[in-house]
Amino acid sequence: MRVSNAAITHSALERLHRRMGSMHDMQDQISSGKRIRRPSDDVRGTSRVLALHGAIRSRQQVDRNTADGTTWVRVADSKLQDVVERLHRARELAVQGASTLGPEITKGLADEVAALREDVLSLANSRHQGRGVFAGTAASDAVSNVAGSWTFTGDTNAITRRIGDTTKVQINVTADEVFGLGSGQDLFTTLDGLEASLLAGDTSGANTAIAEIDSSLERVLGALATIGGAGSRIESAQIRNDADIIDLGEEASRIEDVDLAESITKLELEQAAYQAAIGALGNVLSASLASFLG
Amino acid sequence: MSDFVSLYTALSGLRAAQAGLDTVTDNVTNVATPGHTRRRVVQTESAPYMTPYGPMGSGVTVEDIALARDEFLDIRVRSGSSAFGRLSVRADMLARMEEALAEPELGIGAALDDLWASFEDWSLDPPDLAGRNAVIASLEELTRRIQSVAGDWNRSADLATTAAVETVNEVNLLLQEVAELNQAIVESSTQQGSPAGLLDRRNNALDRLSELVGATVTDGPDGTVRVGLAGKMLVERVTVVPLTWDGSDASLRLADGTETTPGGEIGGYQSVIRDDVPTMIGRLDTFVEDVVANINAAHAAGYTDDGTAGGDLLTFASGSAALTVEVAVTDAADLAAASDPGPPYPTFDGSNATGLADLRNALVGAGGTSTLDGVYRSVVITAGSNASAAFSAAEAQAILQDTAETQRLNAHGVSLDEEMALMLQYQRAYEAAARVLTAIDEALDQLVNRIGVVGR
Repeated sequence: MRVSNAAITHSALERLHRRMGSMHDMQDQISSGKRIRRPSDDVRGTSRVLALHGAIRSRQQVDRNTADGTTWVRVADSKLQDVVERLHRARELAVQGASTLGPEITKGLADEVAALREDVLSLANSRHQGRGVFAGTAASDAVSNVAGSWTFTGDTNAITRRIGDTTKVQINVTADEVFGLGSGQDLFTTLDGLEASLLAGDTSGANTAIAEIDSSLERVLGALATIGGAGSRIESAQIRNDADIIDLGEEASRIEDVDLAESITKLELEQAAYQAAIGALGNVLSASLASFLG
Repeated sequence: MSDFVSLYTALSGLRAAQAGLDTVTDNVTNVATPGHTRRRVVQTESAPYMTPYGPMGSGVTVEDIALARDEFLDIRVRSGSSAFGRLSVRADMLARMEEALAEPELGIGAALDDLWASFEDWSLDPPDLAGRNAVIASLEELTRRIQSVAGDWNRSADLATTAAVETVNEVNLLLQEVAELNQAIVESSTQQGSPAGLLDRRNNALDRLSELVGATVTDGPDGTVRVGLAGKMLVERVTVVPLTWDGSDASLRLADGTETTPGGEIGGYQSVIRDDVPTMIGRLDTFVEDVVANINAAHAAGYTDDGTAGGDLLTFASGSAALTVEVAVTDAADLAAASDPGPPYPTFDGSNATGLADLRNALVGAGGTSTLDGVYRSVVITAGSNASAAFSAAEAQAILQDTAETQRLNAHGVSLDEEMALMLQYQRAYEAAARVLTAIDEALDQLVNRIGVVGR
């Protein structure tokens, strides 16, 4: 076969360019740390990586949601614990008031009941970050005394936090269910009644109050259980979510990141091939019959 | 028999060897000249003359200095170079288009993720101004990225148009050059000169024409060539039909205004302008229309602080949604967080903001078959796989083209070793012919000067 010098130069250069190209590509991969630098590098991989990035971003948001939810649940929980404590004291006072005592003593008990009611009212209207803890989504106080009757002035809207891809958990309880406002006897009216009974020395009134306080306690404990349940759901979601973020991150990294050991080995192979090609070309081009003619 | 005949016979050998050496010199000096076809001395035996002993050879005749050209290899290279021109232009343009997406790191996908997150952050604390402003900022970033991608794709089409116009100008110059060379070749063959250099130059022009526009070549009379394109003549002997580029519909037109189908690089530019760019912008438009419609609808389901229903968050003008999409809301107070108009207005109700964030996982795109993220991913996949297919096609064609070109260079190109061997051969032939001449001369000298002087 006939071989011309121009053909040798042409095809050798063409091949050197190709080698240079793949060496450059390897080097680019290693220095960027990314195996996928543009969609055409790996079309399927790109699509998967985009989906994984989206999923990770969504999980990071879940992380924020759960942190925020945990705070709210803790605040509600501690306020409700305080309410329970106050109710226990109120019950003790009612039990004392159920036996016949002197008016000075019952006056003292009545004063303490009034103080307890104010405590519970302020707990019911407590705010965290400017928002009523038991007021639903309303800006107003949860409980107010409207024209002499205790009224729920918040709303019953649920506040939810997303704790999974689509799973949501309600993180609030509203004052109407906690304190029985709007359905039968509410806690504040009960305490008002107890105060009045104590002032009047009405022992049967105090006895009625004991039963009413007990049913109020049940409602508050029920609310505590609801909040506690939400808290533990959020907590377990948080743990699972953290694990998910790591797993998804690893998967994305496997697809888009450079395997350094593999890439460096490939780069060295490319370099060796490139040097061999240069060496071979040098030998072929320098050899000429002209050198041997006298 | 005449003794002088041998002198002429030896002289023809000297002349042939001289021509051979001249050819070697020409070839060796042009070893690196692009498109140079090696020359060959075509020599035959001269007609014999009759002697009493039979026919006697009368030396060598140089018939021609010919080009070692294989037309078939030319055709092979040219048919490949038209496809190569088209594919490599398209691969370059599609690479540019997918670069504009800046995926998988810094593109529209990440901006969309940020938008969903900002909606959800806002829902955690609906009245918070910082959260509301973050939503508006995310919307602005999303529209900025979409506009930048669509704008960049449009610029790709503009760039292709500019390149096509320049390429058409180059093609017209080449057509003119081929016509002029046709003329020169006709003249030089009638004048007994060698048109070898002209042929090489014409071949270079024809190669370039096929790469630029996919022109085909057929042989015409008197050593001329005809250049054709899609069945229409562009050059016939010395007549040129110039081409024009019509930017209004990205078409290539002949002088009489009829449209013709280009191949080569111009064909590549045409398919980018006509198909690739509009298709991709169309895909992006569909995605943007989906995003705008769904976000606006979800926002309209809620109410702002004063109890009015949520207005549009995003808007676009008629024409291309991707090129014109922008944020319609400027005042953070116009964001509708709550699902309930009140009164009393539920200040801390972020359920409509949650509804907007829930769009992330909702199957609302592409006619309810995919998430909005999914619609965008399919745009990326299309851009990526178009580019990747174009790269492989261009790469495969480059290898074919390389093989064809190497084969042609092997056949047409100068081999220095071969020239050295030929040089030695011609050198020795020259020396030998000269030696024969001397021998005959000495023999004649014997006859002329020594005869009749025996015994003096």
